[in-house]
Amino acid sequence: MGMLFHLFTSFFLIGISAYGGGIATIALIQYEIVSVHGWLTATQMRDVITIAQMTPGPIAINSATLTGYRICGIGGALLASLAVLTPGILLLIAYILTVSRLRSKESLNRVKMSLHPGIIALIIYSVYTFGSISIDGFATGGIAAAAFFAILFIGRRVHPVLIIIAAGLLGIAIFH
Amino acid sequence: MSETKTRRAEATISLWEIFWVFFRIGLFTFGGGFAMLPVLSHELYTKRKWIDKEELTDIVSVSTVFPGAIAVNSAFLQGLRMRGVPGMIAAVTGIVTPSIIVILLIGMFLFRFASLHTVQAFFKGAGAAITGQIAYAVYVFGRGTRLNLRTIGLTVVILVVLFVFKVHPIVAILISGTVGMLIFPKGES
Repeated sequence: MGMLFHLFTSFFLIGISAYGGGIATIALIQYEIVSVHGWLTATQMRDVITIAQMTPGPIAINSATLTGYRICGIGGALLASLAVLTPGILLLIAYILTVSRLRSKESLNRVKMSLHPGIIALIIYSVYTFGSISIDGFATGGIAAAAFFAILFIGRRVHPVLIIIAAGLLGIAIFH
Repeated sequence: MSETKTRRAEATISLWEIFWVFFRIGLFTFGGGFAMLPVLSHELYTKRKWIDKEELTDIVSVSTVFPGAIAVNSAFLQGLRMRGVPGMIAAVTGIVTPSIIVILLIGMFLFRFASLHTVQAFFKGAGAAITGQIAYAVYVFGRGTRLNLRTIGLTVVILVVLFVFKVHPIVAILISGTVGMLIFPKGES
């Protein structure tokens, strides 16, 4: 029971910062799941986030489902998924009950503008935190750089998921 | 956001249909985020006329102000707009169900075979590429932000707090929200 409670609060916190699908939450997920609770090892975390990014749906929900499943089975998966959605839904309900009557687009834009620096900082920080569990030498560093440029230059024509899969196959060729 | 024009047609739309349409949107949007906007627009506007262009823009722009996936927040607002609370529940359940099913199937499979050498080699390559993808997200977000002294300054301050003091990353959102509201004056957006 205590475990489920912690699972819920962890993913509730993660849900608070899950703006725009949640690539900014990667650092937060690692912090809560690996550093604070030790529910997953760094390598398991790398696998979870990699799958979350390769499957349909937002990364924050996907990693919640996977981590919850890993820790507490199907019940954990559903609870963690619900927890990560809760903050956004509560705020939307509050918004509909109050602010939307004022139809204040300007204040919405102001909130958005205020949060932007924090979100960019979190994404930059996620490059560092996720890089530190997925890059361990020249080969993986090279793959990361190649993936960046591949998505930058051909990401519009080739779906990024295909680029990630190609990198995985390259991984099998190099590291197996 | 509540226009009377499209309301009449909506009375006949069943909860099951709402669920099913958002289920499809959820199924076809890999990676989440802004990737689902074209699908959302195609399913709700082009194909079904459940919504007009302006309402779609409204819903998406409100969705991005709140935490949570844009797809889920849009489903919440559109479901609510169409059929009240039951519609909202149908839309949100619909949009999250495909990824939860797919993710659970993959999770069951992965956790059984994760220790295999080949699977680990795959994740080593793919995981490294994800770091490249996050770096690309920095580029995309940076390009979408109006860069000026205040936004850059606040970003740098938050980065210093994260890297130097190793605080809980949620602090980034708290600092940004509070300081941002103070330094970005009203009427400038």
